[in-house]
This record gives sequence, structure tokens and C-alpha cells, in this order.
Amino acid sequence: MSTPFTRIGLRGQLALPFTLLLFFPIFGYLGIFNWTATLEQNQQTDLTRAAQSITKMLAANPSLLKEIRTVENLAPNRDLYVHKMTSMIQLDGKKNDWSQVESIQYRKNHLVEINLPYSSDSLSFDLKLSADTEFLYGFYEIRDDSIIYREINNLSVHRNDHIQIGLTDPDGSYHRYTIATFQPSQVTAHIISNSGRSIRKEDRIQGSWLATEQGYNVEIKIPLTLIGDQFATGVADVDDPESREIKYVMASALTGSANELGALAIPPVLLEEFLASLPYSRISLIDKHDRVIAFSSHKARAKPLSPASSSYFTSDSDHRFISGDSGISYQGTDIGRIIVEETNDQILTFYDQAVQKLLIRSGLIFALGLLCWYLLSSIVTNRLRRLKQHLESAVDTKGRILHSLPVADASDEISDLSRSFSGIVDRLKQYNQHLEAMASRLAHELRTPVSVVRSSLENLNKDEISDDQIIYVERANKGVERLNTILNKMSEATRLEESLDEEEIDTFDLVKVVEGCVNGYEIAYPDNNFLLSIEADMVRLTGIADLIAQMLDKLISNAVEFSPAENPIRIRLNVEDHDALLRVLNDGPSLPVMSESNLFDSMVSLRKERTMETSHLGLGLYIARIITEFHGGTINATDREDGQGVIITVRIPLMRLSARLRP
Amino acid sequence: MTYRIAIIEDDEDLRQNYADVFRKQGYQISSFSNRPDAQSVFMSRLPDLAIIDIGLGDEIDGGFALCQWLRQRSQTIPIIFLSARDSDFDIVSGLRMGADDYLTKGVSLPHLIARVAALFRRIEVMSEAQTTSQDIIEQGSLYLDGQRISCRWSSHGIDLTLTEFWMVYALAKHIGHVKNRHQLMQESQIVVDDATITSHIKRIRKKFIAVDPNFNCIDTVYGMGYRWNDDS
Repeated sequence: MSTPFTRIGLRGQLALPFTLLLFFPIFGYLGIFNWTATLEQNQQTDLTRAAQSITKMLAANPSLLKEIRTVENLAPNRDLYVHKMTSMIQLDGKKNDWSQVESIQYRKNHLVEINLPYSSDSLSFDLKLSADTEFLYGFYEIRDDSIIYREINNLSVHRNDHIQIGLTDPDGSYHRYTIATFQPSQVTAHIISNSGRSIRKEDRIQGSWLATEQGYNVEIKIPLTLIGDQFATGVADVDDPESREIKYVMASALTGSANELGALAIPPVLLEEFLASLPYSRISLIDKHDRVIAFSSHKARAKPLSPASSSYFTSDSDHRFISGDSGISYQGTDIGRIIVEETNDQILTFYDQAVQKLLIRSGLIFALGLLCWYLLSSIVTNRLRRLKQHLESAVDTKGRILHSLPVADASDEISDLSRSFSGIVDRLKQYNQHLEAMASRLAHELRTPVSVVRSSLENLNKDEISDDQIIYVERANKGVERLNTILNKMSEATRLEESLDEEEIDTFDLVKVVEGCVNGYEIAYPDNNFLLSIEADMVRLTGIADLIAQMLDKLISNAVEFSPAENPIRIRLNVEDHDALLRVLNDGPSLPVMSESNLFDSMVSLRKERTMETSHLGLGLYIARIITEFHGGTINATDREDGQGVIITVRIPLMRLSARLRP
Repeated sequence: MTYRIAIIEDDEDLRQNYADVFRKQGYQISSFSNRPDAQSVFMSRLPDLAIIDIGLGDEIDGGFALCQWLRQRSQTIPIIFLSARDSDFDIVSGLRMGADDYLTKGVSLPHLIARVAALFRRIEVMSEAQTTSQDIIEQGSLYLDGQRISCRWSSHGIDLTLTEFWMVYALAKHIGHVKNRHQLMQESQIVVDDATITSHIKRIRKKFIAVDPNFNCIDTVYGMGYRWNDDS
């Protein structure tokens, strides 16, 4: 019975349960996935709590919040954002202190006052602003094709190239400053009136004026105490040394009145320092308009995944910030929100490690399972294969049982099967022996009744029988005679097998035996012709010459019966591959199909028509086979290639040493 | 005098047939179907010749036992085994028990009668204690007396069964001539298969070799038969 299940083989069937192992990594992965999600949620909760506690800390520390300047009127064009100072600034007009700070570029569209047509060579500048806890620093890199300094002995500060600054102080009062110089040098700002005249010098605003190839650089510092929320600054250009008229002013906004100024956003440095001291990747304070007021980042410090442990399971896009936020207020007004952010690196690391562990462990379990499966299935299939081999070798192609099966001593089902087979084979063997001995037992059993019939017939007083009755007595006698011959033949094979173990083994020359036998056949079968061809001088065999002669007798008598009398029977003897090869060829009818294998079995006769004169029990070729096999040889019958007869070939190995010759 | 023959055979019909044919020949017959019956009668008087079947009723080897028992009581009484068993093992066993001949049940009655007569003639000749030159063959070291059924090689007596003696006799009568198996069967008045002839010849060779290791007079001519070679 073949179902799809049995068709995949025992090994495959045993493998099926192991496929269940595949579910371990899947369930494990789902578990890790849920874990990661929970961890992210927890982290978010933690960060929200952190934001709340930072809010509380700030509320308890109003001096930090004092720095925060809230800007209500938004004018992105005019507003100035100040960078936090990262390095020491020297007021020398040189650019090298400012490499960290981004510049704001002022061009044609920033012209706030135009008295003469603008040409781009005439004026443009880049402004950089930064601040520390005390000062606001500014760096003006001005490109000007013609620099006009102040006139010597002239009090005027605006009839030349100059910097304009307009601002409100912390109290909200408006002030206006100009920075001008007679020559490149250290400079001080002038407080000026609405008309542009200098009222007095403001010593707290210091600077440095440096001439450059494109024009000039001005570097200034202003104490934060002077600066409130509003601020604007710009450059006024004067190119004509005679007229000294201002050609145009380029600025962040008009500096001339308090209303026109832009907003100045100075970073709350102390607040940022405080935030930076907190152990979070990134904390930012944003105002109501989502503008970042204060910002601290430890992102550089957040431990990145080192290349060695770089993950196979998460990509760069998986790296992100998880945030929590909380509103913050100062003196009763809502300033904005604190946002605390943390990378999910730790979670990703956990995820990576967990997945890695999962893979390694399930890989190990899988490998172990595979090994177990392989060993188990190998053991089982090997045992079954061995059983099959034993079974196949125990029975030959002709269905004869050669030997018993080895009896397994284990107690499982396969050994049970093997014992069961062994029992079956033994019983079959006994049955086969019973069948093979049948002929001899039958002969033995028949002998006594046949003797009774024979002696009874012989006891008949022939004189008292009438002539027409005597013919029946004669027929009965003939029948009994034939019966007797049959009985002798029947027991011949058995007697031969019994005697094999007792005969003396000798070395003899097969050529002489065959020659002698064929001479005998010429006398015994005067009607037939024998052609003997021997292609060897001497063929030494070890065995029993009488038996070989007996075998040849059977082959010849077989050939004589099949062959038409006028056709010769050919006998050939030669040596091939250390074997003696004896062939008997006749011109008889071809072998029936499928008969070659059992032609040499006991009591198999393939004659089509039964002759009355001789009785055929199919024992002749059986005896020939027994003798051949006793000499370690083989015998087979084939049709001749021309289809005109049959060849019986006996192959016996030359000169064997072993005493009892059966292989 | 009338010889008394004992027939011990468990098959009723066969026993009666044998008894009838021997009575017709003028012998006195006592027949038994089993060993104990036979032994109880033999205790008082032994027969002149015994024909014994090996399997007797329930006793598979009853005939062997009876033969041994008889031999203990008489060294000279002729004993013939007549059995359905024809294996070499049985033949050898039977002859070792001291039987003079071993026949299988296929033997024809005339053959059987001839053997019995030959055995009685031997007894007569021995008792006459005088030699006639009839049926005597002297060939080299071989001396055969057809009347006494005795065989000598050089000066050694060789104890042959009746069958064996007649085979040697047939071979030695025509030195150098091949006798095929069929001829040997006729001469020794047995009907057996070729293999049995072969084993008889082998046993004969062994008996000669036992007294003369160099004995080599019986030659096998494969496919044809056997030949007695002049040993001189």
C-alpha cells in the first residue's frame, strides 16, 4: 500500500516531527518583538517623567529661567539668532576665532536706505553673532570697493563708512550706536542722537577695525547688560571722499527707531549648561511657536554600536529618538515645553543581542535535533537494510533457502521483526528440506508395497495360468520393473547428497575423465554421435572424479533424449579465467521461456511429450547441479545462439585447496 | 536335510509371499513380524539362515538389534538384510553388524533365492572339508573360491559380502576387460542404481587396501565401468 506518507521513505517520515522545531525561532522572535515594543513604551514613560522632573527642577531654580527671552512679534527677516560661544574671542578683527559660527549674508535685498544706485561691488557683508554669559560678540566681514574713514578733526561720525547698531536695553529704552574710526585700529562705539551726531563715547562697547583686501573687518563686543529684546545692526557705505554722502545702508533692520528693530535671540547659556549636566541624550526647551530656545545634546556621547558588534538585524533607519515632554511656565506665564529625548540604541542593542541569542540557541537546538534525527534514522534504516540484506542473502534467486537468519537479541520492534523473519525462514527451510527429502521418503515408503506386488506376481504359478492371462502377468511385471527403476532414481539424489560428506577428495585430470566417459558413451549409445573437443592438455581439478563422471552421465543422457539421433552431441572442454569450462551442446528444441532458473531443481522436468519407455522425474539435472555445486562451480542452460539447440555449461574452479569443497 | 529359514518382516503380505516362495523351493520356513517373537523362538533353536528387515513394527532399528543378538549366539549363521532402506549409512551399518549380505526390497525373488542357495552351498562345501577345483580363480595374489565364497589376497583372507564377492568374481574372471555397471549388476544378481555400484566398488577396494596398502588392481574406466588389472 502506497500512501503519500509512505512514499517519502522512513528517513523523511522521521524528519517530519523535527520540522516542529522551526516554530521555536518564530515564537522566540515574536516574543522579542513584543518585548522591544514594551521597552520602548517604558522608555517613553520614563522620558515623560524625566521631562516633568526637569520642569520641577527649573521651577525651583528661577535664575535659570530668567535668561529666557520670549519673543512675541515674529519677523524672521529682521530677527537675529545668536550662537552660543564655543571658543574664546579675541577682538583683533581676524576671522579665525569664528570658524564654528554660521554667518548671515547681507546682500542687495537687505538694503534699508538707498540714496544712490546700488552696485554689488560697492557693498555687501557677512555677519556672525555669538554670546557667552556676559557679552554679545559680532563679527562683520565687509566687502567695500572704497573705504572712507572719519575726517581728522571732524566730530562727525556718520559722514564716512560706519557700523550702525540700534537696540532696546533690558528696561525697554531705545539706544543708537555708531562705530567709526579714523584708521584701522581699536574702536569704541559712539552713542548718537536721532540726527546722527555723536553724543558721547560708550566705553562698554569695544571693537577692532581691520582693513582687508576686499574691504574691512569689524569685530565688537557688547555687554549683555546693555541689551534687551530688540536689536538691529547694519553697515552704512560712503564712497565719495568729497561729498561724504551715505550712498546706502545695508542692515538687519532699520536702526533709526525702536519700532523698526528686530528681535535678538541670545541662548540661555546657564540653562543649557544645566540641561547638559542632566544624563539624557538630548534635552530641548521650545517656545510656544515651536522654536528651540535652549538645547543640549549628548548625542555624540551616546554610545554608538561599535563596528564589531554592528548589527545584522537592525538597520540605520531603525535608530531614532524616543521623547517625552512637559509644559513649563515662568512667573505664571506659559513659556513652552521641555522635551527629553533618548536614542533607542539600548533597545536596539537588546533586540540585536536577543535575536542573536535566539538564533544561536535555536541553531544549536536545530543542529542537535538534526544530529539526533540523523543518528536515529540511520540506525533504524541501517538495521532495516541489514535485515533486508540478510533476508535477501538467505534466499537465492531460485527461491532456495541458503542459511538461517542471525537472531537479533535486542527487544524492540525491529528485532522482533527480524526474529519473526528468522522464524519464518527457518520454518520455510524445514519445509524446503521436507520437500527435497520427499522423493527419497516417497521411494522408501513405496518400496515395500512394490515388493509385495512383485513377489506376489512372481509367486503366481505360471503353469496354472492360461495363455491369454499370462500376457497380463507379463505387463504387470513390466510395470513393477519400471516402478522399481523410478524408486531407485528417486532415492539416488538423496543418497548422493548423503555420500558427499564421506567421499574421498582427490586431485584428478578432468581431460582423462571426460575422454573416458565419452568413449563409454559411444558404446552405451551406439545410435548417437559424439564430437569431443578438448582445448587443454591437462585440467587439474580437486574433487571426486566419480561424481564428475556421474554428472557427465546425466548431462549426456539428457542431451541424448532431446537430440535427434542423427545429429551429433558436442562436448567441449577448455580453461577460462582459472575455471574449467565443460559444455554439452545438443540440437534439441529450445528451452521453454523462464525455465532456466529452475531447470536444475529437484523433480522439475520440462519435456513436452512423455515417452513411455523411460521415466522422467527431473532428477538428472538436479544431480548434475548438486555435483557441480559440491565442486564450487555453477551450471546453467542456455539456448544456442543460432536457436537450433541448447548448451549446458558447467564451470568449475581449478585446483582448490579446501577439503570439503562447497563454497 | 531341509534348511530352516527364518523370515523377520513386519509387512504381513510380503512375509507370506517370501515364505511361500521359499516353501516352494523346499525350505522350512518360520516367519515373525517382530523381534521379541523371533528371539523367544531362537532361544530354543536357531534357524539355518535369517532374512531380516531393519524396521520392525515400532522398532526402527529392530533388525540391527536382532542381527547383533544372532551373531552373539552364532558366528556362522548366514544373515541377509532385506530392507526398503538403501542409504549408504544403512548398508554400511548392516554389514558391520556381521550380515553376509544387504539387499534392498526391489530385488526379484529368483535373485533372492539364488543368494540363499549360494550361502547354503558355502556351508555345505565348508562342511565337506574337501576342495574341488571348480569355480576357483587364481590370479596373481588373488585367490577366489566360488564354492566356498571365500577370497584371499596373498595369504590374507578377505571378508567379502556375497554381493561384493560376486562383483570381484565377475571382474577377475576376465582380466583386463571392462565390466560396465549393468554387467556387474547381473553377475552379482542385484538391481541397484549406478551410485550403489560405485560405493560397492569403493568398499571392495578398501577391504583389499586394508591388507595391502599397495593394492591397485581395480581400475575405474570413467563412463564405462571397472576393470581388474593383472597385478604381476
